[in-house]
Amino acid sequence: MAVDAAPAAASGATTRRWRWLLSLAILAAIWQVAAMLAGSPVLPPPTEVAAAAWQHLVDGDLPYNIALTLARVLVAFAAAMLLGTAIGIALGRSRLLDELFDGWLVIALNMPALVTIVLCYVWFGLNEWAAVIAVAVNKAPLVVAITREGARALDRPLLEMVQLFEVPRGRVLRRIVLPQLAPSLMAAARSGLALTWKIVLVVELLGRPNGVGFQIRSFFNFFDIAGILAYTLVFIAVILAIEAFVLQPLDRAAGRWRSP
Amino acid sequence: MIGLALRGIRRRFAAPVPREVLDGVDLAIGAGEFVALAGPSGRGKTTLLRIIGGLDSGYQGRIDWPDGPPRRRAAVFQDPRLAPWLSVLDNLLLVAGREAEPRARALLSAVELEGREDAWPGQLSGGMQRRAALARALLVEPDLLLLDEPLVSLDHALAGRMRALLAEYWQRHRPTVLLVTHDLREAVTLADRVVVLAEGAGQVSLQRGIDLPHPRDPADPRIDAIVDALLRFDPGLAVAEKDEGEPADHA
Repeated sequence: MAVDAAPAAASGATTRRWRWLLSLAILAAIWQVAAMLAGSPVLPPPTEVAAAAWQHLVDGDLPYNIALTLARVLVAFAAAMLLGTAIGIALGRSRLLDELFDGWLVIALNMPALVTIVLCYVWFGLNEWAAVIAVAVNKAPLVVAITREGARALDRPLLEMVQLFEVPRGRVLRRIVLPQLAPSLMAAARSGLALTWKIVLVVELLGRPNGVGFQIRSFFNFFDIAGILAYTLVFIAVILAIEAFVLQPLDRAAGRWRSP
Repeated sequence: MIGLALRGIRRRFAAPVPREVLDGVDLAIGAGEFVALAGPSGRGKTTLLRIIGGLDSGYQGRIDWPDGPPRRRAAVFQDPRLAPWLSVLDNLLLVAGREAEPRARALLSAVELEGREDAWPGQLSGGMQRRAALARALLVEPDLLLLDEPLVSLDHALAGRMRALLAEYWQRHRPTVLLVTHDLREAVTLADRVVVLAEGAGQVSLQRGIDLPHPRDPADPRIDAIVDALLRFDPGLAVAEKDEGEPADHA
């Protein structure tokens, strides 16, 4: 059964990929038709956007700004994951801590991103640190909430086993706790990456002299819609590539033991 | 020389119905002694083992360790408790560290799991997982070894070989061993002393030293005689032979 199912599943995945590309092509076609019907500079057709993207690429401003934004996304993302995971495990494992800080978490989860960003700029100045802290602080509460659920569900018999054998704490964390949290961490990472880059754009728009968010504001000032769409589409493509070539392989590696 | 002394151990469980599982257990166990706690389920054997292993702190009474608490503890639980995301070998190395790999491989072949080092636990039968758990316990070279029905789902011949392995290991390394078993013959074959907790009373009702020389043959008529004597004293022990034990593992 399993032997027969494997090629079928593989061809199913190929079909799915083609359909996905097809649906994107349909979207582009609708866009093209709509742009031609509208005939207005506020809705440039995809060909014009592609041309703009190429021009910005050749000029060098697009790779420069995207690299800066990506660097901010990755630093803030890593900080939020580390901080959020540590706090999430602590809250999930200690009832006392959970009761003490659950209210804080609810407030943090409901804090509008814009408020955190503005406050960080006011408190820490219009600098790189403030920008990255603002993004990390926005993102971390969600990581805390997701990993807390995972940490609550840790396998008790295994924890007793390592307690009885007095396995060193670091090894318990690496080999017993984190593998069980892997699904939660992957869920947090996936939702987190998307959320992080959206917030980074706002941070850049409000207080940075470069980056995709800053560029979009300049384009807005000049009513350069093709430029806005070109930057946006390229950046989405970069994030999708990270998802496909980094996060998904990680996810598969973590779940290897489930389908031996 | 005393390894540990239990003094007036009481343990009360609230659910499903409130009851005293242990109601004043006094028991001294010598350093390097092999003690079997025998009898059917529901008499608090596992509870006592968990208290000694430090996994249950909700008890009253005292545990004294005249020579200090054990430096290295190990256990075989009723369920194998292997991490399903670690290979069999990595499950062993989890408790002993990377540098123990040669010994871990040797122990895995001693429990007849050679060639399964890189398998996931989920690919092994229940009996194989149990043997991996036994190898894991011996790997840390414990001075306190707690065994909770370690051989229960193995088929007859395999259980015999594992029993011999355990006896030989104990003879060579002399850890203090506490073996919980419903199988009187197993208890008498392995232990220096068989301890029985009374039905419903939560106290030690019977202790019997076994001074037969090692290695012992389970078919030895002297073992039959001791088992019969224990059964005459507490016929409840015979029930255990039938109602416990999981389906045998023929893998």
